[in-house]
Amino acid sequence: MSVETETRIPTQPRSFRGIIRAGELQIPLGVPNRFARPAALAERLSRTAGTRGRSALRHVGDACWRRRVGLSFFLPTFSLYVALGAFLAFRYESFNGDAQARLANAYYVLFSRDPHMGAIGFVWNPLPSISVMPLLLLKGLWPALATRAFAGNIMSAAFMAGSVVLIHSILRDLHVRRSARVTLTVLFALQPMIVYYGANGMSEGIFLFFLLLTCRRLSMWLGDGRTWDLVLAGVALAFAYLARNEAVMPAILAAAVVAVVGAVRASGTLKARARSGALHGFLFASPAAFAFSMWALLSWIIVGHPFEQFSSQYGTAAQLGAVGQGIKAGRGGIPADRYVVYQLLALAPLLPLASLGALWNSLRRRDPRALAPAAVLGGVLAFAVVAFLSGQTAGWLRYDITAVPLAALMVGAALARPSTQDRGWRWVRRALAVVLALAVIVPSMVTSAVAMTDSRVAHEEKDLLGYLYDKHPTAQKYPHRYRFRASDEIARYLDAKKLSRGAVLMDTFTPCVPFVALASRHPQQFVITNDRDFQPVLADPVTFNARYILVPPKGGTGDLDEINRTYPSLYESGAGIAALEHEFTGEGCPALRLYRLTGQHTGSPSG
Amino acid sequence: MVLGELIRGAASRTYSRMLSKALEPDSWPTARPAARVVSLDEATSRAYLRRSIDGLYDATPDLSCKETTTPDQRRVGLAVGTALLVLLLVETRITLMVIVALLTYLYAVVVIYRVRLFRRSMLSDSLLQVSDEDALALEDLPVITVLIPAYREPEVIARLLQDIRALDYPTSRLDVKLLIEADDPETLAAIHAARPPRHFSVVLIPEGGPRTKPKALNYGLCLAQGEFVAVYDAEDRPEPLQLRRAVAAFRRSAPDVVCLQGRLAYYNSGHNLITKWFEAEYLAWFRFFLPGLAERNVPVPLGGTSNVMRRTALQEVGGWDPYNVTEDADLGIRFHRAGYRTGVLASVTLEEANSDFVNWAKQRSRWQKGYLQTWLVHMRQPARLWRELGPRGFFNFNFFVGGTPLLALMNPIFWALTILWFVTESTLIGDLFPPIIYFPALICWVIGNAVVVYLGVVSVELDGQPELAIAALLAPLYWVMMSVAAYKAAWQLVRAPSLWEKTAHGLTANPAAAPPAQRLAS
Repeated sequence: MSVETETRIPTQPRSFRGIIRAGELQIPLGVPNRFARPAALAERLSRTAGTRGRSALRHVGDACWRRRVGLSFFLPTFSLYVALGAFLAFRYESFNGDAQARLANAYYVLFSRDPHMGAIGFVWNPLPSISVMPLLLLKGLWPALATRAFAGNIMSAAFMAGSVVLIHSILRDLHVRRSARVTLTVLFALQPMIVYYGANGMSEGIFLFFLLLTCRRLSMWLGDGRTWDLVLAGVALAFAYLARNEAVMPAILAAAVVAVVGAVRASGTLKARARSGALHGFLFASPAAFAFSMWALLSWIIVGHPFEQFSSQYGTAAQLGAVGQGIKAGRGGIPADRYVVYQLLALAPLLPLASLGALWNSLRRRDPRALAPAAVLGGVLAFAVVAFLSGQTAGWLRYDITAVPLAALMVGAALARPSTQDRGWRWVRRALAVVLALAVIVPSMVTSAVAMTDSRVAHEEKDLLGYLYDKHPTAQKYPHRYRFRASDEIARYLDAKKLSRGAVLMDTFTPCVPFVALASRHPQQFVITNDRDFQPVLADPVTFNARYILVPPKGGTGDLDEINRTYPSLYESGAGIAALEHEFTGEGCPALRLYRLTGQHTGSPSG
Repeated sequence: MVLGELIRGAASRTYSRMLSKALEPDSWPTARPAARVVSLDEATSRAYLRRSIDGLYDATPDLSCKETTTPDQRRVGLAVGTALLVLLLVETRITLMVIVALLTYLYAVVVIYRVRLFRRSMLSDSLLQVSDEDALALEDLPVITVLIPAYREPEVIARLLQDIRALDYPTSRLDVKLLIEADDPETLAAIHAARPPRHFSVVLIPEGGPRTKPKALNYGLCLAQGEFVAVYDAEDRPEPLQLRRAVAAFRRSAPDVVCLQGRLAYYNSGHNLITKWFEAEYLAWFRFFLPGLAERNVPVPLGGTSNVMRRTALQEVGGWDPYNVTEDADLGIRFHRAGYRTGVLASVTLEEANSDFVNWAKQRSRWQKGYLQTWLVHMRQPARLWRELGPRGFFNFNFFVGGTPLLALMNPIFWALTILWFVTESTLIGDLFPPIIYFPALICWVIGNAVVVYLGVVSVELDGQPELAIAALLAPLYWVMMSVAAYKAAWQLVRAPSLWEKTAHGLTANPAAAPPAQRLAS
């Protein structure tokens, strides 16, 4: 081998960039990014990629079409919910206190005397508040976004409309024929509970949206085992947790389902299967677990307790004591177990039937995908029922709202086409599916509508909506109706005094008080619960230049008011530090009293 | 006539089978001659050595790492450093704020980019796949020169010969060159003792210049005759069909694809936690990030071994840079600057993972140093690099080559700040930075770290190796080790830029117990 003489020794490296790119690729290394046309892309990829790549391509190929279908569901439902939201907020002045308070938390972060992220508060999970922030930034253009909390209505309408789109997508993934699919989606979108909670600014919309997103990706994973779908399902579940606590239960339940399916699908020894199952369960559940622990950690650092939403003086447990009695009384003597059954029957009377149908059809088709909604939405529902029966929650009707999408999806799973092609009778089959869908869902729409007007099972909804159709709406029957006017009046009273920064001390947990902050033109005049110096100011208001204290009467949630807890005799007598300036007697709010501080400096500021 | 040919073919095949059986070393009990050593005359040897050491520098000093920084670079560095120092002294708070804000932004961009890259590789398999049938059906196989540098590792030679001979490639088309330093009689003796077959030859690298792997490779390249050049490390165990798959992939790809990177994995990954970490890291890197980069047609920092390249292209871009301690990454960048492309081949080469911390740190700090060197070299003329790589390639180069060691350097600082924030309940950091800076920074940092760990676990699942999940989950501890190595690297970059700290091999007690490479071929 006479290597020495033959080897070419390049004298000069070729000039860089001197090499011209080869023309048409015989086979591309992959998918060039700029390749936009799905058909061409699919054709090109099918030459190189394996089946996995091809299934990925189907997603790309359908993207344009899907987007159009999605929009055609989104735009009408969104418009409907926003329009109804506008009616509720502007025409009927029907505001839900929780929606208002969540919006107010976002408002404090942006516009309070002490704007900081921590002002978002830890009583509620943060996502509903965060999601309205971009809209709140526009309050200069349209003050009603804040003063009437309308940003919240837009937010809930958008997410509820998104949920409608997702219901349609999940039904399509389940191979429900188009006629039945569209029928089910439209009926879902028009379900009274869905319409109301899409319109009223509550967090149900965003919660359902992320739960359904979890369902969708999880069912895709159950269908073809693509890990990326499992990852997305886990991330969606984490967002669902950041919207509402109740996501903890489906996280556990669905993770168990994922682990079992992962183990069954794996090959090898029992140990290898167990390991694979555990890993899949981990991949699904860990984003939610991360969100859970991060939120707890932040809460712990900022307010000193990891689970503020459950245990604080304002948390669920405390509210239950104060408010729970009222609901119990409102139930009109129905025992707890029958009460919850009534609620479920009202929201989805034929859910058991639909579930049986789904089970039968899934077994017949050997398709595990219906497990996803059953585990995720069913998990939330089970949690709501168990938590209520064990006395952990107040048992609002809306806690069971997941029964509505669950019923729609179970009907869908029951009607899903067999994997083989239909043989004849297509019109009959199609019509039959539509009739079945109507037969199962329409009764639930009627029963839900009836239930929402019955204060025994739907205390909250009846309170907030009753006067829309009541012939003789009195302030005693519907105190909520006047809440906005009353708190608006307080805000105007205070605004007229042209007070300096931090002049008015108040606890924003009390009903009406957040609306005072939202309605005021000078939000910086308030020292509020979420301010970092709230405790020092509360301990020594004079030194910190506070001049007034707004305090609610005792009893009910008034007992949870921080000011009442610190100065028990303030409301009655001024506690020796303040003199009564004004009592606001507007209907709909507690009889808030404004005290003017009279005391001298009681000590040096500490902190 | 056809029949006759068939019979003749069959007969000759039988004959050759008989012949090859007869030629099998074990069937000849008598001693065969020792290994063939390529002998060159004095002048040629000197010319080759000179070419190996300074070939790249003489042709384009700009692209050589002989000088770590150019005077211009030093001036710019000095100016930026001074300006920063002055700003820090004059406007401490604002400068710190701007720096933290910029770094946070960069960090977020890098994490998002990595997630997207990962997602792409997950959804469409961008590895170049060649089936066994296609690989075995190839005809007219080209000559491949296999370069295997070895230095003071006599213990791995026997095993190496066995694994290279296991390659399913006609020996008449294979030209294996073992590159041994002239002052390394132990390894040479080991090779003689192992009695390699005829298509193996030993090249003695004369002394002089930096004693680095790329110098040896360049010397070997001067002697290479094959249409393709393959590079393996001495402790590698390539999958037997790898060269055939590479040839098939080259034939299918566009002519501008001149380099294929095989996937690297470890045969001793179960040894301890360090090797598991190493394996999980390699898995993410070679299975997801590199194919993603190749697919996007941006520079691919090569993995050093298990590369198959077109010899002419390799010679055109000037071979390896003997002064760069990660000559592989540098070469990948240079290929792309020249308008060539790299693909990632779905064929596994098993290596030995470092199971010992000190040894690992040496190797890792060399890599970090090399990445820094590579980054400095190519960023000498950023505008030209931008032109040659395009904006996307430019950013990718910065993210992956500059970003990898930089992230490892930044990591401990950010961890310290985060821990400080939690421990002091935000007061200390809160005083230093306004919330608009520290909240996004904190969120980015915590979520970004979680995302990277999570992706590690996902990649372990995708590759069907759930036994690595715990290691992937504990990756932050591995990052601490990386940071230690990165600081060592930064220090070395100043003190001894071309020092090559050799990695000790043979630390795993029983490599023979390792699984055969075929099992992992994907």
